[in-house]
Amino acid sequence: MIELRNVHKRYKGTDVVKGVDLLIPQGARIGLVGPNGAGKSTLMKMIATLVTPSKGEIIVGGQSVTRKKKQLRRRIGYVPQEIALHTSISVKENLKFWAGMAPGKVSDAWIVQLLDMVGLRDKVNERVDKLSGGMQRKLNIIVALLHNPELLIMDEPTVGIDIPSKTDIVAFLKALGPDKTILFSSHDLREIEMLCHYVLVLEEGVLRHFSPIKELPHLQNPTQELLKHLRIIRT
Amino acid sequence: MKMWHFIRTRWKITLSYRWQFLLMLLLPLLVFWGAEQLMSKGSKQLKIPVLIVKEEDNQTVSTIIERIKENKTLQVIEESREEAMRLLETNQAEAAVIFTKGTEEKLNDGEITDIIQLWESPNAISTGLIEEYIASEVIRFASNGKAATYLANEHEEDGLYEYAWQYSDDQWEPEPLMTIEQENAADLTQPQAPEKNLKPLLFGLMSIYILLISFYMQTWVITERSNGVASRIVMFGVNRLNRSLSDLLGSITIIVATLLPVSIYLLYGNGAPLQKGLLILSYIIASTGISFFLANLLNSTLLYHLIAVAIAVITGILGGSFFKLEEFSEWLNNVSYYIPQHWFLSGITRTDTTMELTMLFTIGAGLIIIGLMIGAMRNDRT
Repeated sequence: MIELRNVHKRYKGTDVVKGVDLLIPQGARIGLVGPNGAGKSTLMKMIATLVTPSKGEIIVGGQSVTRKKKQLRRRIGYVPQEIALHTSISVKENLKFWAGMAPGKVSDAWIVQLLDMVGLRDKVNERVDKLSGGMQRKLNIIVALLHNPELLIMDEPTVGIDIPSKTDIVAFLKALGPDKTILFSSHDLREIEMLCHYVLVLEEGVLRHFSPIKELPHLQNPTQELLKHLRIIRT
Repeated sequence: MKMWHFIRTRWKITLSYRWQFLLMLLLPLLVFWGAEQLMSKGSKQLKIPVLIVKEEDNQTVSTIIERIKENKTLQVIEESREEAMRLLETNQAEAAVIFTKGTEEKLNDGEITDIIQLWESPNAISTGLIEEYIASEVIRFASNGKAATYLANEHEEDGLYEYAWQYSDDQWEPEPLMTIEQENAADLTQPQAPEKNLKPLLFGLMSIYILLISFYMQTWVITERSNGVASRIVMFGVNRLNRSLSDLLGSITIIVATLLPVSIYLLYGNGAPLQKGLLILSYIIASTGISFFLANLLNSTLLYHLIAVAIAVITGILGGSFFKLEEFSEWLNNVSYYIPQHWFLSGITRTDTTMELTMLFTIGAGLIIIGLMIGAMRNDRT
């Protein structure tokens, strides 16, 4: 599904991503971890066609992200770290707006199904800025799913919300089915353990580790502990 | 179709802040109405304060004073010698006219020298005008007396003095003595009321308001870039140009709608409302262009708003929004030709506004194109 060949990104004189090679199978759920500034967001944006790699190639579903941007965007759903919504208008008006922007026709039945899955159906007439943080995050995710993409790229979609809301989101993402490929970044390893099949560790723009989640040791503290562990293994 | 989505959403977002929208609709109307009322009242009070010290109280002096009071440009205040001196020293009056003892007697004898004294304040600039006016009233009285005395002495008839005095006095009507026809500028523009002459200043205020509201309305460029909405729209496969132009159109329609009441208020009775309306629209496009260009350059909303206020004030001064630049310096007047406010204010006072419309539209469209290019370049770099 996703193939990265020696991908580099240089930004303002700094190498943000350095020679990443990766192969992600269709339907896999990948957890991307790494400290702040590791290059996670840049890597995700490159796969999402939003940022052009300085060097190397990214192939998604057999198409190059640099050459087939427009076609690929129809197949990718992107959830940014921020609440990328018009927060002063209602949930319904937001969904209407984004459904109008989405490539292809978005059926009302699909919107209702998504709302039901995240438990937002009875909140459709409320202003987004009046919703709780968890609800805003859920809406942020379902907007990316309006055109029912094959690949869902999520850049820290659960940042700043409570544990029950995180659990709800993980359950919802699992319920999307085995065909959906998900690239999910987070600082919370437990969340990644619950959701993902594979874990990918990025540090200073370099891919440090990529393995099935089962091979990961049980760690109390997320990213930093994992990085220490990986360094110990290497030495 | 997507364009309509953007415009409708831009309206919905604006209307979601109900009080803010109501303020945008009513505030300019209230401000301009209030400013007009204040300035019109101020213009009525704009008279030269002249003090009168009456050291001799009789019919002659009272008549002269009453006639001086009839002058619309003078604000006549009767005071004692001491108080008059104090007011002059503190620049609270322009000049003081002292009617010394023996004024009536001298006037009746036809004497016109050393009858009255005129004191001026340290910062006086219009003493000459006051002197001329007071002198004309005194000479009028003196010449009447001189003519009447001469005739009465020559013919010794009953009532001849009074008849001659009145005959001589009548020759001074209509005022002034000269045959120059005097017209009030406000009367010439009838049926327009004198208050309407204050409108250039109100349009100056309007030019600042439009620029500020345009800056405010283009804040979306920065906020939607930082909150991920812009990236998400791109991810949905929407053309960036289509999106930006649609949102620009949406914000222009909002500005036009909120300015409609105040535009009708200001343009009512001014003639050629369609032409002036088009001029306002072109100025809105120019202001939108300036703000869109700046918003594409900056990342911080706070910095953008601070620069916006600075630009509005500086271009307001240089463009003549607050005062007429030709009255200050030639250099400032030349600079104003490069400022959009100049073209807007110049067009408001003209009958043919083709050049102003073209200039404003070109500035607006040009800056929008540059803004779009900067936006595209910034996006490619990330």
